[in-house]
Amino acid sequence: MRPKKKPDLLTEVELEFMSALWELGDASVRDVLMNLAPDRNLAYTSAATILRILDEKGFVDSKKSGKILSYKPTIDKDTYQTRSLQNLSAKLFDNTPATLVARLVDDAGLSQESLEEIRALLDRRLRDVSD
Amino acid sequence: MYQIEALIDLYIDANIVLIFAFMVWRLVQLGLSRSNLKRDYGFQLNLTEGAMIAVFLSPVIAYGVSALNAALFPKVSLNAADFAVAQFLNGHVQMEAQKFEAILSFRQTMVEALASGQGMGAQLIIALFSGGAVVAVMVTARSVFNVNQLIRGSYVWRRFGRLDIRLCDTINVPFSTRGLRRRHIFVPSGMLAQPDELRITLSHELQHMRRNDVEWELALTLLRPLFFWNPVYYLWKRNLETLRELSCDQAILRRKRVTPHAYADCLLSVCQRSIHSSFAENITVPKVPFLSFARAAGRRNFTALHQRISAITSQPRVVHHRGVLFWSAMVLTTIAIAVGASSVRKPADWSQDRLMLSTIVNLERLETRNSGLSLAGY
Repeated sequence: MRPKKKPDLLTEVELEFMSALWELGDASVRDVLMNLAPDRNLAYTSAATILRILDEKGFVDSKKSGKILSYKPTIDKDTYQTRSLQNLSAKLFDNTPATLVARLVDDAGLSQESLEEIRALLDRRLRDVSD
Repeated sequence: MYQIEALIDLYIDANIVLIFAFMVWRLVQLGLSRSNLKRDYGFQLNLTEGAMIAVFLSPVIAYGVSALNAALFPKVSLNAADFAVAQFLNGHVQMEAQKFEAILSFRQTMVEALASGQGMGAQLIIALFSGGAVVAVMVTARSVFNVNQLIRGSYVWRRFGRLDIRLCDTINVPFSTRGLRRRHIFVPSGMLAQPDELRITLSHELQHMRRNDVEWELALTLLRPLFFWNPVYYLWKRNLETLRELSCDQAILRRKRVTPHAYADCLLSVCQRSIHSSFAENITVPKVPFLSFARAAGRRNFTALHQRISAITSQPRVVHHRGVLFWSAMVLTTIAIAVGASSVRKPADWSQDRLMLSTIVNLERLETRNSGLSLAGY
């Protein structure tokens, strides 16, 4: 049988788990459960299943120490953010990131401070390109 | 050639019996809808499946009924054609004997034409049926392939004997299906984060498994290439699907582990998500979904969802001697289907009435010929 094709993107619940793992670095099922939103009413077994699937999908690595399994992200948050934005840009903005940014600036109700931050980022990026 | 004719005859019989059995079943349903069993969907589902099995066994049952009839009432024929001939001979049908015989032998003429494949009409019918059957076979084969694709794109959550509960990222509505060896319940992976919904959904799908609903679905899907053109096949299948869901809901609520309110909430919540159903859910798979007929789009589907919600909120009345009633209804339905199946069977030999009809036809022909000769002056 051909090996299963690993998905590039996380589901909503998986993203919550990965966010916890990005924060914790290396964590057990119980640690991740403790780090989730307080209103997230999740059984231990369900959390363990979600982490096992993340392991199968290649987003985390598992390591057994004694009786406890611990999980560590194999992909960092920045890389996933880039991947997720590239996917959004390809699927919703016809592969034109400029449209994505324009939509963000137009509609997101950005504060003056955030806009200044974006401008600084762009200036830095443009300087790097011209150098 | 005779073997081909026999096969075509069998196929025509099967379709006529299917239509007849559906009408019998509708009559029984009508009777039940006016009784205390109106909301007993388990009873109605068992009866429907029983009637379908009776259709499948109808050639054997019809043979038995014909033999029994011949032994008990040798002068009474169950055959519809024999009955029509008797009516003709008694003068209840005003028609020329030759025309009447032509109508009676229409089916045989058609079968012979189809078996020989001669004539434009016969060739067109053969082409249409072969094309339709090939498409139906391809759709069925595709659905088997799709089951494998879904299995490959999902993750095993639990394993019990030959049952796998799988988590899938690409679906919004849970469903059950089966492969050659194993049965599978597919659950949207996001549902892991909704423990109450997950519990209700799993108990629903496990109830389908207990009742072998997946196997019924698979068997009916495999019959599609044979009955693809017959609207009764689709109508009856849809009715079965409706009863299956209503009966499953009722069975779970009867255990009282979940309140009707929570159950209806779960149904509506899954329905809401099904509006954004994914490609994976729209592909053809012989499946028993949590929401098979309650998709949110469309007036008919809204009515179906409404029917399901109102069934959840009203439990059936207690009926005494339910078992006796069920078997009485089942036996009556089977007898009706068997009599119907016997009436369409080709008579084994020529009855006296048929010989009489044949003689009248010959006399009519002779008279026509004689009058023709006398007109010509011989």
